[in-house]
Amino acid sequence: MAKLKLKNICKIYPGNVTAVRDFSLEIEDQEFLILVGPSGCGKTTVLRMIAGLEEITSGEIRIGDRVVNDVASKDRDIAMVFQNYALYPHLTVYDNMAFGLKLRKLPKGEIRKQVQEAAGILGLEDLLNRRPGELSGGQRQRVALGRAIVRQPQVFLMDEPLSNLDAQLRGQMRLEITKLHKNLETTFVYVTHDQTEAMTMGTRIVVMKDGLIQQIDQPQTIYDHPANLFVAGFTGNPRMNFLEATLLEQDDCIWADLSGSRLPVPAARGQELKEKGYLDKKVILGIRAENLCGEEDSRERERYPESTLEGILEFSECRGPETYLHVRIDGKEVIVRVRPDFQTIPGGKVKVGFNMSKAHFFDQESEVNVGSNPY
Amino acid sequence: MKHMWNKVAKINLKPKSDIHKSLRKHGSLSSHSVTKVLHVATLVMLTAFFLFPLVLSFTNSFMSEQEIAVNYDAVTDKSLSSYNADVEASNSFARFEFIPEMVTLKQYYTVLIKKTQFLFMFWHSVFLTVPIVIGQTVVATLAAYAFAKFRFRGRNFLFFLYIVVMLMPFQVTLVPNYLIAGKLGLLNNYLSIIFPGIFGTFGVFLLKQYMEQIPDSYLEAAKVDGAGALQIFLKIIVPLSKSGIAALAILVFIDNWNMVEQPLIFLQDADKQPLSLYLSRIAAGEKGLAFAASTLYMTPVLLSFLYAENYLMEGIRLSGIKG
Repeated sequence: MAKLKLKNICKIYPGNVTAVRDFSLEIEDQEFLILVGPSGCGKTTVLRMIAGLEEITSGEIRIGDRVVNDVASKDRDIAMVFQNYALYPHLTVYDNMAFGLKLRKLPKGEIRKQVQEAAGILGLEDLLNRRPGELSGGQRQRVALGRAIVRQPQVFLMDEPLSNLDAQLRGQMRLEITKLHKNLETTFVYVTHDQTEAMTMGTRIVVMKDGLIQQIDQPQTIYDHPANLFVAGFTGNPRMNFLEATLLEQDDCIWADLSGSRLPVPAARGQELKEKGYLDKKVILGIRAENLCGEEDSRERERYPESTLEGILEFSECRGPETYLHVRIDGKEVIVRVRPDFQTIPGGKVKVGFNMSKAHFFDQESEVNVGSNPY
Repeated sequence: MKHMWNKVAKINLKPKSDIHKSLRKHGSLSSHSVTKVLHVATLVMLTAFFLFPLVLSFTNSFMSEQEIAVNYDAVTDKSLSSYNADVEASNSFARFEFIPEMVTLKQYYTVLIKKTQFLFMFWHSVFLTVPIVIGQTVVATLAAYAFAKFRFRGRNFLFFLYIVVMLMPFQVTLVPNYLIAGKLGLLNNYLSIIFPGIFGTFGVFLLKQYMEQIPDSYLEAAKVDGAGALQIFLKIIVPLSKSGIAALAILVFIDNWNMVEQPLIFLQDADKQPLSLYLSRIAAGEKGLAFAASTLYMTPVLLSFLYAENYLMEGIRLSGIKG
């Protein structure tokens, strides 16, 4: 168990391709940290640099009190679960799990004990004599986890370990890995591009883009208070609605003008935006689908009667417990979450209520969230 | 009445479409069967064509010299045959007989017991081939591992040189090899053949292609597990390249078991020459002996092929090299 510290890490590949820029992060002992971001954002590179599989161009990595920049992978006391599991196909499950222990020349009895203990935790007792080729995806995943936990490392590194599983199994394994983290009380660093995994598993999330950290925070904070337009758009499914707006002041009230329609900005936030100099300036208004409501959700809509705009329903997406309406307002498409029994007619008019107290405002140029906490 | 016609129409419609379907089905089925028959026929013919000399050598090795003379003297040196006149009168074509009139082991007795030269040369072949097979397999496996899984300066250029050497005809490297062997004082010594054999380029090429198919994540997982480069090689690369290594060993064995030019050039001493040169020394009058010697000569190659056929196929397939 150890603290992990990354200080100004940079990774530049030959040909001057920068994968990671000035990455600084402290991972607390027993933390479950998630690195999330789109493909090519550098999250796997960071993980591989921690593992020692990739040299760092500049910066410093510490595991515990030790700088490990020049320490070989095997001496970093880490374990890694790979995206494709990387189980040795010629070895049985037992030998796969015992591989690292044998290399450390542990006594046979000790190896057997540790492998069986890990197999017990993961429900692999009956599979120990099988080869990876004879296992299902979920079983292989468990063996990969088993191979990692059997060594009792200080840090677990996981590189998109659930991406090869089907949706149902992924859900199940998400839960199992979370439980495993609680039981093992060890530091986990987990890479994923799946925001559901990030939101449900991590104690903290690092959102990355183009090799740069966009935001580091707890999952709910990232969702509720995205630091910028990218984080706001990346978290949440469906993604946040973005509308271009100009902030205007009229009748002692700040309005977000959406080229025709207007929405009132709550007084305190309007004042704040005014003080920051955004009056008569263009901003990007961001609002999540669950903070919009359809015509029939009258009870909800009554709460903010002035913030209702009319649009044309393009199509609706039924997802079982809720339905998402794709509504075109002033030429822009917004997604609205409604009850599943909401009556919809494609092409018909729909009134959409905006819960402006939950709206975010982003600077059009820097894309930074300029409003204070909307929650 | 109208109702009845409707019924008839309904009844007729269904079978009609079924007939069309079945016709289509049968049409494609028959063309499929014809293709299959043609495939099988071609394969049978090719197999027969390639098996013919092997079976002929094997069966004829159990014939008496007299029977062989009757069968083949029409197309060989007739002056040596006492049946010359009869044969010439009867036909001027060889007669390919597969079943001996009388089975005899006399040829084998002569080759294996009466004349010791065959056995000596057999062992010379073993002395030459086994070190080359073992040496080239070890060297090629290590070199291929480096080329396939390590990044180092000049790697691509060095491999390019390997390819260039591999593509050169054997005769091009023969003279430099001879000169080097002369300088090292290895002429008329098995080492003059064994050394160039061990450092052959083909094995490196074959195994590099094979090892490139092994995902790097296995190596990385082993690294994280605590394995060094040599442990990764021995515990991951070698077991996973088993088919490729076996394929290489067989190909190298076949190639070197059959070598003719190298022993002719490098080994001036006839007593040191391998079995591959024995057949050419058998007198034309000893065709039975030639058949028995041929059968014995090809036995190790055939056995090794049959033993490791699956490895060979898989090894060649996975290395992406076509035969």
